[in-house]
Amino acid sequence: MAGDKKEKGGAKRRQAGGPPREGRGKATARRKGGASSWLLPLGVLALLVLAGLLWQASRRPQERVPSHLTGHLEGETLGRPDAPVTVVEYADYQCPVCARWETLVFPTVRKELVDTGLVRFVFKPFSFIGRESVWAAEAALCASDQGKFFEASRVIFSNWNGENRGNFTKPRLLSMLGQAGIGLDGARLKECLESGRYSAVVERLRADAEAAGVRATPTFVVDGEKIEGYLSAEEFRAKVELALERKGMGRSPGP
Amino acid sequence: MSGREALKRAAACLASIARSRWALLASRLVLAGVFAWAGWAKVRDPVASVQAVRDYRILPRGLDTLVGQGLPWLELGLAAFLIQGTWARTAAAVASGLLLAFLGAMVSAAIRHLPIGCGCFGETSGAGITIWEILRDLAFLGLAVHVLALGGSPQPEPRAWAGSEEEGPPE
Repeated sequence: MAGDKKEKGGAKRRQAGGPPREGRGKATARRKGGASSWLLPLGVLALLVLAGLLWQASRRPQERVPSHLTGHLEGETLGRPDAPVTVVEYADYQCPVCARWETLVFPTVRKELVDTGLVRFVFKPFSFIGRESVWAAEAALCASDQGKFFEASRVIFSNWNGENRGNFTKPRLLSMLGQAGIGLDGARLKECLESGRYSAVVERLRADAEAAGVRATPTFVVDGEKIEGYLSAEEFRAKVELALERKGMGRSPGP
Repeated sequence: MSGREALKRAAACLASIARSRWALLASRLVLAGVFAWAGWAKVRDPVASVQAVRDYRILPRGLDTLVGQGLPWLELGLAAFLIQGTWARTAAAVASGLLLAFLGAMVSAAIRHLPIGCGCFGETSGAGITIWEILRDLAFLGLAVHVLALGGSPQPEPRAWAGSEEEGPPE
């Protein structure tokens, strides 16, 4: 504290033979110095935080999504473009419930509802759990360059193993996708992932999802109706049926 | 009577240990290490940091982003002040406030049974706040209060009127 230094200096001077009876005056002077010496460090601390925030903001300058990639902001799509019902899924690759849904429910949904032309399925990565979620989403989007988004997505989800514990680092994502046998060109994938080609896209997807009021993953939007959390295949089918009925197409999609 | 005496003596002994520069230095450095670690983990992953703040569902939207991104810098700044020492008491005061706020947030999350991690050191997942995390916060708070209460100018107020103490070195 600046006040301490003054005091130390004062003590020395006194030891060196200054007038001995100035104790009380010194103390009040120091107390005044004390009040202002609280303000200075607090100010410096505030400046430090401000500088940190600014630095962080400048390090990630509102990355603009290049125009040839803006299509990805609409999500990755599966199924007939003119299917009567559209289902959007917002998911994080590190979210355990999303991984469970992908492995247990999605194959059925895909076979019974998407491949039959009833549902257009849109997947939007909402990467909020950590850096590894972002990297995983970037890797999946890189695979979309080779037309393998949903295949890559499935591989990543099936490799789920906890959150933020080094499972979805870039090298691990590359090796799990390379070894999955889904026909990805490893070199192209690597170039894409390491160049951060999709980092702005992933960030914008997250911001857009937040702006759309998505608060948890998975979140499904079935024909405009928002549903948070796990949906079993039966529940999912029921929601789709309801949407079909609303459109006056109430035929049972199931057997 | 002698038991009381022993107790008194033990208390005096503890007090003198607490007042010793080494104990204060230890408190300062441990606290600095804790804040440096916490701050660094969050600065490296601002996304997770914001999410950790958001998970507590206390702050309104917008403010949680600001806190999530600003908090790690504050923690790093506190660590630097605590290590350097000149402004250690101010840092300890701010740290006490911060730790009290964390305590409040954790208790409120525990009461609401939020299935979250404490997010203290950059982790974002967990099954809820545990008693250990709360006790850990209290322990850190103890260190901060120690530095705040005793880490000020050496030989503080008494000097003003106890003239004889002025002769000693200001330790």
